[in-house]
Amino acid sequence: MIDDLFSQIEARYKRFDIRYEIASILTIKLVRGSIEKLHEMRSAGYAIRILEDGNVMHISTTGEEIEPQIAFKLRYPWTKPIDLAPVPAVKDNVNVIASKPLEHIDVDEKVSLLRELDQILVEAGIENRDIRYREIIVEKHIKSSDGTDVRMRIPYAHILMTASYKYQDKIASIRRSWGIIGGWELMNTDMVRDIFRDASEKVKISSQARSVKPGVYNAIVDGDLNHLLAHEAFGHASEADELRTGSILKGRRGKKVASSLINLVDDKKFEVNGIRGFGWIPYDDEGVSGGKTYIIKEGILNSFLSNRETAFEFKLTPTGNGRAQDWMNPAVVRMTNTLIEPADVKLAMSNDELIEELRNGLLLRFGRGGEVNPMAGVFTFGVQEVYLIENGEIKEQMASTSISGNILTTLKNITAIGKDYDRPEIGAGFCGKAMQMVPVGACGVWLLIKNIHVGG
Amino acid sequence: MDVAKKSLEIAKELGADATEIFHGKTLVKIIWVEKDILKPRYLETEGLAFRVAKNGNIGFSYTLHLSEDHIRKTIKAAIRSAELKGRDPNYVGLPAAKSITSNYIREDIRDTSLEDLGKIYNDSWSLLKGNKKVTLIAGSSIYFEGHYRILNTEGVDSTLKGNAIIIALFALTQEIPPNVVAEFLVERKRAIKVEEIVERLLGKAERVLGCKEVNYSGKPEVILAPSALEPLLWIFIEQIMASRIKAGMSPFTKESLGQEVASKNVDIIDDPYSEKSKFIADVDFEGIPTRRKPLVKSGRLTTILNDFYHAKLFDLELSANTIRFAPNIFDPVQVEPAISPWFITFEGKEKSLNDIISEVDRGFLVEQVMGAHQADPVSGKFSVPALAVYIENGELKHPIRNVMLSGTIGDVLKNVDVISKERELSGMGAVEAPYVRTSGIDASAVKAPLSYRIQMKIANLLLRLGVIKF
Repeated sequence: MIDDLFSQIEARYKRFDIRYEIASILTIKLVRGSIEKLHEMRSAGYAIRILEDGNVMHISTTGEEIEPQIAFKLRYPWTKPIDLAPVPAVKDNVNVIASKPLEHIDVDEKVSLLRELDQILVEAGIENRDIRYREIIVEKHIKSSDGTDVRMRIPYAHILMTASYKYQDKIASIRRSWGIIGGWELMNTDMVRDIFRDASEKVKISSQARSVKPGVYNAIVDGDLNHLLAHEAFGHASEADELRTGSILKGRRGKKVASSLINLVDDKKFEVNGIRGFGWIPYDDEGVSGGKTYIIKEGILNSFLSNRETAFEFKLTPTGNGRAQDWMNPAVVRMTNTLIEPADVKLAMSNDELIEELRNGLLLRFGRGGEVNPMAGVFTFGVQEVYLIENGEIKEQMASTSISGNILTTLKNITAIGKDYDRPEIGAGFCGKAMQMVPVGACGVWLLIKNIHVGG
Repeated sequence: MDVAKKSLEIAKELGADATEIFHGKTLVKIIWVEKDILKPRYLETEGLAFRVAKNGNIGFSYTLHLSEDHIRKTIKAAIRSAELKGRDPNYVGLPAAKSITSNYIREDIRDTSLEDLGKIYNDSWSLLKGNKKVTLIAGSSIYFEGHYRILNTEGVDSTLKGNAIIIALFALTQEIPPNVVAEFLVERKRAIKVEEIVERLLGKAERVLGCKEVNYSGKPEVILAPSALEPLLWIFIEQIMASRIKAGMSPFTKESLGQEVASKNVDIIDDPYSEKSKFIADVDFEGIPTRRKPLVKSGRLTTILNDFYHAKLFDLELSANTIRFAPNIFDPVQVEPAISPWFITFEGKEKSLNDIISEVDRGFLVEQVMGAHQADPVSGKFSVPALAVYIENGELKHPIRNVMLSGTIGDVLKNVDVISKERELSGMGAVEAPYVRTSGIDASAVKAPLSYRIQMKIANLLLRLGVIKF
């Protein structure tokens, strides 16, 4: 498919790449037990990037011919030339192997699973329920004038549940996410059922719970919030395109930005016990292979995340973080599986030891999205489950809340780190930036942090 | 025969009980700027989306390939989707409505080129060049043109056409760490006055320049700027969507109509005809004639946003709010129709912003909030960090970063005592909001550690000396 277009462009331009993408999408939405959506769709098209004389042009098209009159030579006093950092030309074909490919599983079986999960909520007395299953099988073919020719096929399956419960005049909602890359054999239905049972109990308690008094607390965050903290509190600010607009991390490479107990990594091929993080990619959307990038190593800012454009611009080694939502968008710098790890496993603690270490404070579990301003250095994210910890014991569950903090101070306040990884499936989600959503994920270990600003 | 009518015939032949064809052509030209990096983009799509009724339910699918083979496969997928969903006891089929031509294509801007879009940003840059308070840091100029047709077996054959230029500018205050201020503009004429948008940007920047660190805890009077009100308002807007109510993901029910949901001092309006909206439409995306309507009138809920299905389900007056735009997908063909407002505006008890501020003894003018999407969608409970300006004795004193605000959207709306005469476009052009004064929000702020404050003082000194540059 891509070859005709490649030849057409090659006849006119010297430097370019083409990404052909086919996304086959299945969406099932069960609302209060009724199927509200069940769609099977397919979107296919080309993302073309052409470079000439320091200019770049991005074209997205479903056709196999590009308009010859497209202008792309725009220069102003404030513009600077764009180029790409060199990378080795790669030829590869990666197909995520599955013993039970998602597309071979009948839709009825997927609907049956959702109905079974819905029944768990019904039996718990949860009236308001919304369960979504989204399956995306992405096939990409990336071919560049540099000689790269990479094909990938990655299947994603994601379940998102939202439920609300009303107790007298108080109402609370809860959300759980679960996602895998691979086949239906990874659909650990026992685990998903347990997650639903747990959530149905927690939302009932939350609806009757007291709010935390706004203020500053010492707290433990779980593996899901570890990922959110790594992602929101630091990861976005380490994306090299943020250096253009003035990330607060600009000029801090080699400087201490976090507790020496931690590494903060973006791991394109993150796996725990054979389960890939939801941001797993063998190659990015520029055909660059990436591995584990140590953004922070032993508390020191070690690396920025980059795509080929920003690697050239800031003289960085390309880390393989150029990702696009689909063929309608260009690849920009994005995270994959981002999490905080112990820098020295010998110093890491069990979760029980962390709670004992904290003695008094809060245990924060399960995130509800977040946001960051990398220039002002401020981040926030929602917390679904809040528990009081008194004298080293988990006590009362409080109402959901949010936390906020400063990029340059919060990670320095990590005083202890766990060694037990939470399951990566529960950290599966999608991150939005530059009007594009891409799958991201991973769950880390628990962290003990001093002086977290908690809302009410 | 045209491709839409041909598709209707194919659907009938394949056994569809009823069919809706959405034929869309979209052209998008974008100038995307990140400081000194300019990225032009060009996107052109054409496709067909189908909603096909079969056995008491409706299936959806789309194709961007218009060959008969692809159309057949896609309609079959939609029929299969309807069959798999099973009979919906509330099935109502597709709407019958008169055919409408909604043409808001402005010929004056149709030949807008990438060069023209680049000039808009460059003109803004020229106006701000050398400014000591603010640096233009990013922005986008987008030309959007859509040609859409909705055809169904109930007799609807309507067209929606529109184009617009959408401008977003982002600037940093000249300090470390800086604050980000943004301005948006939607235009349908060739001559774009960037001076006005730049002036507004400067005004916003001046208010938040020179942030202080403070310790604070209390329940102050709060004035929400449009850019802070808009993200919080969406919590409420989503709560009054019929689809959310059906799912139980809202505190409201049909019986909430007529009940007090906001202060009597505020009206909230959905206006599909506003020139400031990104897409003007006389008809919605399932063929129902649109209307300007209050969502909240004198504090009482007057409209539950709906589509044909939910209007029949709840026995509501049709609000014509079926929309096929999504924030992250430019091509409406690939977006399943969903309930959404067209363009939100406000009316109510108005005063000038200066008068509103002058009446505040101690409080905050909240300029921006972060993470409002983390709010509990049902209870409307939010807890968000904010950038605010401290008000004392009726005067703006100094900005404060990272004030944590906690409350519920219900209380925010119910406690509004006055709104400003001034309006600003927010949310990338989806809402034109005033400044609103309200109360009942908990606020807490904590000083950053001393070491951090010292670091920032040194950095600002180096900035003033020209050692550090943006």
